[in-house]
Parts: sequence; structure tokens; C-alpha cells
Amino acid sequence: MNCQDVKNRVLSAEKIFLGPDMAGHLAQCSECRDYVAAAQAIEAVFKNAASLEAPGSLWQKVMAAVEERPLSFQEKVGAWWEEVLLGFRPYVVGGSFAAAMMVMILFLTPGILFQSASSAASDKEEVVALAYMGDNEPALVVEDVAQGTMAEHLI
Amino acid sequence: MLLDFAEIYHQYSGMVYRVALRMTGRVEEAEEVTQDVFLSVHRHLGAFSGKSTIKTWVYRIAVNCSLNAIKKAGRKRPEVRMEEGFDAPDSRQDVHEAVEKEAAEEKIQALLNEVSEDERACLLLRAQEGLSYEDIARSLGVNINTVKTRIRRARETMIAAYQNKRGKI
Repeated sequence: MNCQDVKNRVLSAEKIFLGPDMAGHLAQCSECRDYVAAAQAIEAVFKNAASLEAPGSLWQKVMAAVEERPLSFQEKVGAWWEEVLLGFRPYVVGGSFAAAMMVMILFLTPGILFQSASSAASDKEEVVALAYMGDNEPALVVEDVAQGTMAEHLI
Repeated sequence: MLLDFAEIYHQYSGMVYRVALRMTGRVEEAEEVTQDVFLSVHRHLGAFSGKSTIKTWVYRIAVNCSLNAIKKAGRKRPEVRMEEGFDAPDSRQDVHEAVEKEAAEEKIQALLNEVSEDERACLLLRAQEGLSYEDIARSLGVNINTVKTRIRRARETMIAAYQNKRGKI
């Protein structure tokens, strides 16, 4: 192991460790000893600082700020929706596949689509007609073909 | 996944405060950042998907809020203003401890002043909070090689500063 290897290990390792190979080099090289000592001193300073805690009064401040701004409906139900959607994912996927298959069958089978469309159109007409009749209650409008006039009769 | 907000606060407030303090270098700003972090956690807890761990999620919010606070304050380097954060000591023993504590804080801040904000964030999560490179990458949303490079650069700069100012740091 040479000086560059020591430097690389100190700078890149997740945790600085002195293997037997490094210890052998450090015994002979004062420059590397200083380098490793500096790295270890810095590491120790940070490790010791990890015991610092947040001031106790901060919890009250956080809770006051939380209560000042209540959660929106969307924020409240966020987790619930997430669980529902994730829980039903297999059914959603299955349902989508079934719907896609039905659309394909409709388009690939001659006659079904147009027949359905025409019957839907007549249903629509019937509804419109009923609504029209409803508007004119109690009178019924009848066209008198022979006379060419419109006559209004009471039911 | 419904999680208890109070439990999350008690488990992670220390680390959020420490990260905020080292990133901003000011006690009052660290308190504000900690408050913002937990407001954000409270607001988004319902939508937390559990794809990351709570720990990496909270670290990520903490680092982002700290960076925003630095940007908002228009500072590049944290100022060493730690003294106002400590309570007045009661006894001689406490005075000794407080002096040591303050000296340690100043050492850390002086070292952190030497590195960029991105490098500082990575280094704090590694050296202070003990996160693995992989967890740091997840927390910050960056590639693991980026984490390695930033930590390497930060260590290199700090060791050089330590050796140049031996006795001062």
C-alpha cells in the first residue's frame, strides 16, 4: 500500500478503517499518519455532535402551527385512497381488460354496433316525443290531413 | 398506511434539528426549518406511499427545507452563530460542559464552512447521522456515485482545512 492508496481509502470508504495493510504503511509514513489522524478527528467531532436534540419547546410550536392550518379533505383522505386504489389494483386491471375485450367484440362483429345504434336512436326519439306530449297537456295536437289545418282537441 | 404524527416527531425531531442547524448555522433558523419540516410531514403524511422509509422521506424534507432557508436568506456559507442557542449554565460543571459544547459546535461549523451546500448535506447525513451511502442517495434523490463524489470532495477539503488550521479547528 502506498500514500495514494491510503488517501483513497480515507476519502472514499463509508467508514474509515485501519486494515493491517494500512497499519503497516502508517508505521513508516508520518505524512499518512497525520492525514488519517486528521480524518479521524473530524469524524469524531461529527459523531459527538449527533447527541444534540431539538429544544423541548419546539413541539408546542409545531402543534400550534399544525392547528393553525387544518388538513384539507384531500390531505385527510390521501392515505385512504392510496390504500383503496392499491388494494383494488388487480380488479381494476381485470375490469379494464374485460372492457377492452367488449369494445373489440363490438367493432369486429358486423351488424351489432349499427343495430344497437339504430335502436338507441329510436329510444331517444320516443323519449323526446313523450316529453313533447307532456309539454302540451292537457291538449293533444292532431293534424287534420283532409282539411290541411291544425285542430286542437281536449282529451 | 396511517402513521402517528407525534411518534414521527419524537423519533426524528433531533435529527431534523441537527441537520437544519448544521446546514444553516443559526439556532433560530434551525427551529424555523424544523417547524416547516414537520408541518410538511403532517400535511403530506396521508399521501405518504411507503415507497421510501419514513426516515429517508423525513431526511429529504429536512435537507430541502434547509436549502430553501439558505437560499431565502441569500447566504452561501452558514454563519457561526451558535451561542444564542444554549441555555445559561447553572453550576461550574455546567459552565465547563457548556464551554466544551460551544467549542465543539464552532469546530463543526468552521469545518462545514469549507464545503458547498450539497457536499455539506451528504457529509452530515454520513458523518453525523450515520446513514449509508445508499440511504443518502435515496434521501436526497441523487445517484449513489454522486453521493460518493460529494463526500470524497468534502472530506478532502475538510482534512486540508483541518491540517492548515491545526490548533484553530
